[in-house]
Amino acid sequence: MSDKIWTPDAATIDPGRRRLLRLSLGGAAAALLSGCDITSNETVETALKRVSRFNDAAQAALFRPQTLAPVFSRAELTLPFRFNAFYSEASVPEIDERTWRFKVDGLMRKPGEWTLAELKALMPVTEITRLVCIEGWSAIGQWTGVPLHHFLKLTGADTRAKYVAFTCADGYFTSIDMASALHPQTMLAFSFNGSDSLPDEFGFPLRLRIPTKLGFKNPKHLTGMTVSNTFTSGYWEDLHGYNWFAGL
Amino acid sequence: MSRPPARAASAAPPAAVAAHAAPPLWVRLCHWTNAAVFVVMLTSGWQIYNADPFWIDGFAGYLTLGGSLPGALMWHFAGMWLLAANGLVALTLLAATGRLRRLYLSLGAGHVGGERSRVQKVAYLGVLSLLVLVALSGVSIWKPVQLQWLTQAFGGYQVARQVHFICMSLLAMFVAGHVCLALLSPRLLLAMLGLKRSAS
Repeated sequence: MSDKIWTPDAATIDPGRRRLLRLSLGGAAAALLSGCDITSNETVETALKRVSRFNDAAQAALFRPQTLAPVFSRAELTLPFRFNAFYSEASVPEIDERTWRFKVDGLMRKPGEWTLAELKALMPVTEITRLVCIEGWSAIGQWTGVPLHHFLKLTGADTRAKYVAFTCADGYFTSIDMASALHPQTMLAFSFNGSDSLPDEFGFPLRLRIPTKLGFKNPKHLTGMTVSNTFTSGYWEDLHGYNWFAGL
Repeated sequence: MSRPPARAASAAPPAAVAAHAAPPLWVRLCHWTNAAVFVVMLTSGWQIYNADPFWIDGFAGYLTLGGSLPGALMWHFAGMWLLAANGLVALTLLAATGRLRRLYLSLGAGHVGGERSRVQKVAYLGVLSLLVLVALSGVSIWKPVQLQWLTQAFGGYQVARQVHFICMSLLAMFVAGHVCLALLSPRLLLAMLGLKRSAS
């Protein structure tokens, strides 16, 4: 059960609290700036968010399901790999593998809970790809995991559904479009740079690795996955206004 | 081809007047749209750069647009469409009306019928090329997977970011010089604003 671990799920944060959080962050950002901040003007913000929704559609149209992200050799690995989260490295959740479960539900024939051992038994693939952060930096790493399209097939997911949403042990959450979920390189990764498991700071025990999207669309410490037609946005997308599609 | 002198005199205004005549409306519209979008792209781009600086430490907050990275990205990826649309309209009309060929691509020394001097031609064509390059390098770091051939053409993802930065720097330098020169010749500035039809 996901409630046994670390923190409650961010999806349970009620909209009112989320709005309050957003307002206080907006206030802090405004306070940091001298003079007026045109972006926090409500009309401007609404217009910019509308363009961002248009950009979601534009990127979905530009997305080619068979176009593969470049792959690299082991000599090109970025060492040490860069840590990134919405908290410092000291706050990385430590998850007990024995009690951890990956809970999958939504539009699928076989919802249920998976242990790490069960996931690792599913014919893993290994790939060296570039993780591109929205901040501009990038790093090359090697991930091993089960291709998401394979896992969706196993669970009898309705692949005509629009979204696949993820929840995490650290309160993070995000969602992706089905076309990107079915991309051959999208995987549920459980190993990094050839080690047995993911290191804590890079998402133990399970993370989404999706080289066709920006880094923040690669949620770590996964606890749940839901297939649905309901748009649920994501932590950075919802709270800070990052573009949702975030395709590369 | 030579024309009868009388016809030439009536059809073409004297060179000095032609050079200072207000540009056609579409030139003025494209120019000021481009100017406004450029400021948006420049200042939001500086904010985006500040999230992961590589050559200089970063740009002062009061010079940037967007408040923080998410806001800056929204401005940048909204401005992108207007910059591209305006650029395509401008390039199409520059080619279709013959203005590009007549004023900037002819080989004369300039000032006949509004033809630009050699320095002006180099500057104009240079800035057009830079605008195309800044757009292409920008697109290549926006879509390094879907348009990876373009990213590769710029030397890979990280190099493409540097190319984008260099293009931005050169364009910013051009704009600084361009604005200084415009302020030093108010007649041209008024003409571009459409406030003055021709010089006396």
